[in-house]
Amino acid sequence: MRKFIWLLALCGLTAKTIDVNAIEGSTPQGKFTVSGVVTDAVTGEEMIGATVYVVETGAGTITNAYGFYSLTLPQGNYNVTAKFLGYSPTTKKVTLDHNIKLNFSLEQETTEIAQVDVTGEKLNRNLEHPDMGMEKLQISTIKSIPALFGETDVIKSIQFLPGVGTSGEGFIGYNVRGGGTGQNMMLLDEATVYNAAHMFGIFSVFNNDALKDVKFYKGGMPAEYGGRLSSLLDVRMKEGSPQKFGVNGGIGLLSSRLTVDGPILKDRCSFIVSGRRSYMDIFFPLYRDQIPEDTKLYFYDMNAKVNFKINDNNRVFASGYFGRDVMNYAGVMQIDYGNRTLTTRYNHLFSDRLFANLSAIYSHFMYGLEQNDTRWESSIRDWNAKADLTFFANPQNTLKGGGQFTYHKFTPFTVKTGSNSPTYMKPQENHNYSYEWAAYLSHEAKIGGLIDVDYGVRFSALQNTGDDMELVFDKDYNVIDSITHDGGIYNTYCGMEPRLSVNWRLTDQSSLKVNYQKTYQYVHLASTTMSPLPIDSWFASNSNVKPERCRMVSLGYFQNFKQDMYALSVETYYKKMYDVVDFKEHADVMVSSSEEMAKQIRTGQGYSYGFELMLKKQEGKFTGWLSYTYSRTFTKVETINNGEYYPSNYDKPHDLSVVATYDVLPRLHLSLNWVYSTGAPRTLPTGRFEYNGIIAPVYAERNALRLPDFHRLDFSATFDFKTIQRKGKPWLEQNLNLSIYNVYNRHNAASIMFERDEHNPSVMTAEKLYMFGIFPAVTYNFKF
Amino acid sequence: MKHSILTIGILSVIFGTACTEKIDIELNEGENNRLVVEGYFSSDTMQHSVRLTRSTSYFYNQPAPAELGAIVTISDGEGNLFVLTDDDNDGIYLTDSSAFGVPGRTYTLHIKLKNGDEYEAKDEMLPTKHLDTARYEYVDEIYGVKMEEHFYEIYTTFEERPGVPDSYLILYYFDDSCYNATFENEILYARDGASVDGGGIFDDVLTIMIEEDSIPKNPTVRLDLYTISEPYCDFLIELGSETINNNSIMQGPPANMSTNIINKSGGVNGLGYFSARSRSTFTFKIDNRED
Repeated sequence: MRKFIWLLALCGLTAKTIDVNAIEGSTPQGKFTVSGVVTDAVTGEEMIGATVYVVETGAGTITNAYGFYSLTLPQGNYNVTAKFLGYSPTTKKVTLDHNIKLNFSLEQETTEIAQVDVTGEKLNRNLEHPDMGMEKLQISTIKSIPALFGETDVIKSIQFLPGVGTSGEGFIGYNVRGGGTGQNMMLLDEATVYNAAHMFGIFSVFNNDALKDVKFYKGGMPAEYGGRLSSLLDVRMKEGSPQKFGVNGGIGLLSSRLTVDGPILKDRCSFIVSGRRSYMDIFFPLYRDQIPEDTKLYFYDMNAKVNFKINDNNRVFASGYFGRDVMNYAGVMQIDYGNRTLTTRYNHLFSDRLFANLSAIYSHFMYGLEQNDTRWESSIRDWNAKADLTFFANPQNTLKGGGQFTYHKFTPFTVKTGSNSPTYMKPQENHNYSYEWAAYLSHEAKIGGLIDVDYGVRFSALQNTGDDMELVFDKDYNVIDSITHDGGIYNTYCGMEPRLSVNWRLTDQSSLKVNYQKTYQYVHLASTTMSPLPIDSWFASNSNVKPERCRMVSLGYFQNFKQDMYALSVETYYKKMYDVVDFKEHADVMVSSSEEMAKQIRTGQGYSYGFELMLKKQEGKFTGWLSYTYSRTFTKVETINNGEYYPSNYDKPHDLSVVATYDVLPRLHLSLNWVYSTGAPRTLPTGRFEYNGIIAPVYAERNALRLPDFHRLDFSATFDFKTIQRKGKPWLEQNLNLSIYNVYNRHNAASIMFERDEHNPSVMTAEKLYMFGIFPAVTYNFKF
Repeated sequence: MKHSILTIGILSVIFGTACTEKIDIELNEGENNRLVVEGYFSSDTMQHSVRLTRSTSYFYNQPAPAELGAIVTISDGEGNLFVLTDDDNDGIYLTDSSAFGVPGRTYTLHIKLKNGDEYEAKDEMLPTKHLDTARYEYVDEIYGVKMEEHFYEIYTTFEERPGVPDSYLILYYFDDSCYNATFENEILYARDGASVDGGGIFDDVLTIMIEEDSIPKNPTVRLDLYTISEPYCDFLIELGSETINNNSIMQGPPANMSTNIINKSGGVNGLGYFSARSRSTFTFKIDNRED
């Protein structure tokens, strides 16, 4: 509470810097607004995060998620410049004696397929903004990193960043600053993606060709975002070019993809459709001795988006994603799962300085298991409405506010039986409903040219509703009673989430940042696996499971060298987590209802701390980064490990990544990455005993031992074919990518298992399971 | 944290990439020397056994050392005391052959070791269930798909107490050879309404699917149904999840098994379990199969 009062006091102090007239919407005397959008000159796509600044004063801003900017300045003549890395800066002269619309259209610096950019924004943005812990990844960067099966991926690129750990080799699960995989929010055009896995986690649902912008927050989460403790991955889809049609795609070893975009009404309405399909089942006949006939394994997905610019002040968007994975074993058993999202948005400019966005979002994830003419199904459905307002008061002050409402419907378990189903399978259905609310207010202020502050508060709440039955436990988790609810709201949690980020420019080339954030998480993931699987269970807080809460404070020093060619960041953090969920010992993880889940779940607390270092080379033939993380993370749950703290499943103290790309020739680019981390903790036996002829393990402490250290080198070479011209203009761009995963074929242990000797039953031996040896792949990419 | 066998399976089958290989690993084994009890006392009139051994380091790689010279008794709280002796000096302590338990009573195992440490374990013997009928089906295809392996699916009906959550241990004998005696095939333990690998108990029907090649031809089948206490069932489930079903995605993180072997001298508790159980049995024959 004291912290909140302090935050309000800060609001009061800094509010003095905001022009009261400006808030009311009228132009302050002698001041006028220049506003507009920044677009890509070739595609016409709005550019997110482009810098727009006044050359004479240095005052500036960045474009928002819709490419919009607004600057309110005293009357006068100015040169206004728009910049974005990889694009030529554009400067326009304005005489500001009335409010002006000023749009920028930036030309790419090269017409070849874009190569490695560590960041897509102004090179010294890291020094100018207080958003510590945020990384913005260029799609071209993601595509350049060597990847397993040649399938480059957003999430796998994130895993190379400091503070981000891989939960399992080759899989998309990730841990951020000591948080679990279920504590990461993933948004695709604002829609929650509960499970981003294709092929059980080898691929993610994010199709690079359909993506425009990827922002990743491991700290410093803005007040407009919430719902998860540890991180936010905010992925925005392309809108499609409003000026010309384009086709691009790729043919890979395991999947191929195709994207088409273009105008529906030139400069006003555009679309993009992008699809992928895997075809690894065509290789099955080669493994006929292991894989029966009629076995299928594939995924497909489609992204689509359309936007319509009604006029300069009004615009609507609709975007969607649909994906399915199917695994059918010999026609006998089938597992299928997938996501569906639909986002509709309406942008409105109330004035040159007041930007509004309304969104209605639907998100659905399901998995099904079919066998013996019986189908089990589990699903999550979210209906979400959002309103966001941004007020660009002046170059020194931006205010944001808004609200969000989500209706969650969790269906942990349904059973549907066919006529051939065994009679003992009784049809069952179980649903849980909840409302999640949030409202936020934040203020970005520039104080005296050297200090930037972004602070705000988010109020969030969860309410359980509908028909339900809750169990009542005693202190030993024995069920002593049950409560039946017949509709209506029967349980409410709420909390304040203050956020504060401060950036202090020490010199032109260095800055110091501090961040504090509190986050609440009302829906929880219970998982026993290293990487999220479709069968993992999500459930909402209820009377027995409180919301997870986290407080994190972080401090960072940022230094650029040689005209921003090199950027060094050093960050340290401490994080305390409350009511984090874990399975009890010997849990039954396949449960059919929230009350059954309540029996299996235990909650406790955790803490983590760490030191992160990142050195980037941002320009030149040789680009890339080196990142090192030292971190520890511990958990304490009353009924586990005798109630003592134990290392969390993802506690890997040392983590080192090197990502490098070298342009050997203008059309030949080489990339490599090398990763090293301390082995993951495991609970392994230290002793044994015999019972009824079998050898049973005796464990010491939870996660007391570790797997061997992990390291791996990957390499790729990309050759750009000469661009084919038609009528003097580029017509077809092509490249060929060769990648080698795990170049020196290290067999990194994913788990340790123990086997009994066939000939001497008293002898036990240890075996490691490794997932991937060396694996080469070739991908052909094209773009019309 | 255990890895998903599903994912491993997919990867190994599809890509041929996931593999296992032997590894030398340091387990910080330290000192492991706890008393281990494997004790049974049933409603049958017979010699009942309590085996006492010691826990060892994980890579001890020899048979568990027997605990010799202990004084072992079982009492029923009704004034009956059964003394168990280790006549063969192998750590297996036996009652005389006239001993039997009475369902409804709680039995207490008492152990006094040579070093003076005393241990105690209690378990309730629950009532037997009457087995009614049995039938079986030969299964060689599932929904038109011919299976490489052929199975017998056996259904047995038994008297069930409505609304009472009971736990069972089921042993199948084919021509007097126990199919799951050492738990190497399947431990068939179950609670009402719960399924286990290859079978389960649903209402008053007990099912199991057994591969044809794993049993004799045209066997005489004897089914022993033990009614066991809920804590012992928990122990069996934990034992199964930590050994036979290890690495399954259906289980949580690894953890030590529960026990009812309490050290009354203030030291560390023992390992293993003393179970009191009642048995009912049913015998039938699987006839010649027409090919």
